[in-house]
Amino acid sequence: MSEAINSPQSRTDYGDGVLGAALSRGDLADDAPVAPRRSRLYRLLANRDAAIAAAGVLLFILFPLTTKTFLTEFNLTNMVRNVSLIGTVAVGMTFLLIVGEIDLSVGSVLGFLVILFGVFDDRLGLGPWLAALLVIPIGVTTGVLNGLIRVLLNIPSFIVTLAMLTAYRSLALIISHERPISVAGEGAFFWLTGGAILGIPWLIIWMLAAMIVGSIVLRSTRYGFHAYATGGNPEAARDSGINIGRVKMIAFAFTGGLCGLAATLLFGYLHVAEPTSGTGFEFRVIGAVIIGGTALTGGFGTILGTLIGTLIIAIITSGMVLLGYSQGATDLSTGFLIVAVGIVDLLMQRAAMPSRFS
Amino acid sequence: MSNPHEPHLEESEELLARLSAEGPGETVAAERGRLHQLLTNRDLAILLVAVLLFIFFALMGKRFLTPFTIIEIARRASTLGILAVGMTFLFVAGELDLSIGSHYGFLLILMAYQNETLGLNPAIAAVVVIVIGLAIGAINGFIVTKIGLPSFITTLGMLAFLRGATNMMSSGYPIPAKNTDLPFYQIIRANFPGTPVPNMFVAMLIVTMIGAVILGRTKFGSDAYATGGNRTAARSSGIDTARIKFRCFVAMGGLCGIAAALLFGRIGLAPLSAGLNLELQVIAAVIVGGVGLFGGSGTVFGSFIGVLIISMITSGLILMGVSQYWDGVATGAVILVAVGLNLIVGQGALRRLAEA
Repeated sequence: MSEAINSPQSRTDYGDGVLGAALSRGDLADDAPVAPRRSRLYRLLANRDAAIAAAGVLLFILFPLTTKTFLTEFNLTNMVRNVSLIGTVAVGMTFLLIVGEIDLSVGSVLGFLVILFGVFDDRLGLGPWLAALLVIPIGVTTGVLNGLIRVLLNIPSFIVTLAMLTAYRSLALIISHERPISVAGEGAFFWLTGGAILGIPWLIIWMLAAMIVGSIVLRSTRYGFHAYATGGNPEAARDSGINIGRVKMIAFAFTGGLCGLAATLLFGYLHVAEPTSGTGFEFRVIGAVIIGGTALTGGFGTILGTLIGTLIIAIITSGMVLLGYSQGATDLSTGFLIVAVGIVDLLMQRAAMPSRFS
Repeated sequence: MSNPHEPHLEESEELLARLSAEGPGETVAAERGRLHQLLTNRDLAILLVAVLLFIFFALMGKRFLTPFTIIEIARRASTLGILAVGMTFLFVAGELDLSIGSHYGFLLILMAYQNETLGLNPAIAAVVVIVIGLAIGAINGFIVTKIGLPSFITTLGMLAFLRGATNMMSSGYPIPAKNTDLPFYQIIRANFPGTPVPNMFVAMLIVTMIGAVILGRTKFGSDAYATGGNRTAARSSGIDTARIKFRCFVAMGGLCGIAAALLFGRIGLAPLSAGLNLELQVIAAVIVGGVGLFGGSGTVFGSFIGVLIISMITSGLILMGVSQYWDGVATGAVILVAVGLNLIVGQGALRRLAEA
């Protein structure tokens, strides 16, 4: 078997080690020079966003051709609202992938937090506002815990969050006694989460708010700069005085906080907390981020790409349902897209950096 | 965060890779003995943990030490154990497969489909399912080794793809098997002649032994360790690392087929959520069994003990009267402790090896 493509010089060489590619990419990608090809890198990123957006537009044009109900306003709003929680948490996941980490526990954390929300609001009678004020910091704490274990014990985040995935799902089932917690809530809180203003669901507004904040942080703050540096080349980042442990911790904490926000929104929208909610959520979130062009290898990615990735998942989900297929068809196409985008991404990287693939 | 042991670790990993890559040589022979000792010791440590856990559960849960419970643990361990062999190969070669849970569920539905809709003999259906399993493994392997997409993304995509395909194929309710008095079902459900050991468990033991021999005693095995330990060194010593990895993926797919065929034979239907999160349990078992996260280390025997530990925790907690859902917390804790210990023990032992 020839290894023409997979030459030792190729960027894919980080694939050494089981989780090399996914997790410790930073440690293994030390030889990648970052500064000299920055301008090219930026162009590449711009192109990548454009390419992904083009794919989204294409899908958006294709579906109305096959089904008449696709382009109605109701469906468009529904379509985006259905993925708003994915999009919200995907902002944090984008941060994590950029700094070279991953969080597989977001789905379980969401389930755990939504149950806590139900317990605080209903069983302890604290009311939804206080519950939200408690649940979001607890979400941050779950992220900090992931980050602490990752950074202090130096255990790959894949493993840490895999362990947390099983643990939080268990806790959700234990705390809830395996029963859903529902409330018949009315009032400002439920309007601000599950309601709509001028026909736009608050869920979408919250998602966009998270994305705008995330985008500003990544593009225009010191932290954002440090995040790209940490994921792109951790050795160089450390040598230039960046506390990469802290950068990673913040990304974990941010993702945990967004899980808290997502749990609050989910409860406000559904008025019910189910111990199984969020099952498989992590794969949809990671799928949206990867389809949006954020590299699993760290150092690349934009929130705009993640927004487009989220919308692509929304288009596929709604389109498939309108065409009469089940959730199964959506998962199937998402899986296909993850691989397809990954391959296209690889080819684009190779085209942009011919010297590395002699 | 900086790790003071890292340089040592890298050096010694290279040493390890060289040891296994160079093949039999006189200078290596002495050190290999020590290496072998090290691996054996680690396996022994894991075995000790398993025994202690067994004693703990036997003392805590009154019904734990009954034949029924132990056979139930053995059954539970069968599927996990078969898949863990493939995952050990992949981890050793420096890859992983997240899709096995979906893959297993998909093949189960395929078993049921052939049985119910096409009316095929289950033995023929089993062969078809194993062949399809091998083919899906080959697709994963092709994308990873030929195209160069990281196995994490490739198999994440395959996870979603196969889970979707499973949901599309199933009609929304479990499909029961027909004619369950066929020899296919009878053999799988029976115990090994003259013993109370279920045949499922025997099948798992056979797969484990074959896996242990291939990984521990053949050139393919030592090439796999070299591939995962240090790919550049392996390649420069003439090992076709892409082919090694490809074969590990194909083997993993075939094992998914075997596990699916066996489970269908035993329970006679394809549950809808079969294989959901199974990949996590298998990865947990392999890690608990001391297989290194970064390739190049671990044994099939270690993984086997890991499988027993995970199965014992699940059954043991239920028997202690704890809510069965605590098993997730316990599994998570065991993963973290095992990895933490592995990192500490591994670094210390490797450093000693490097200094020797």
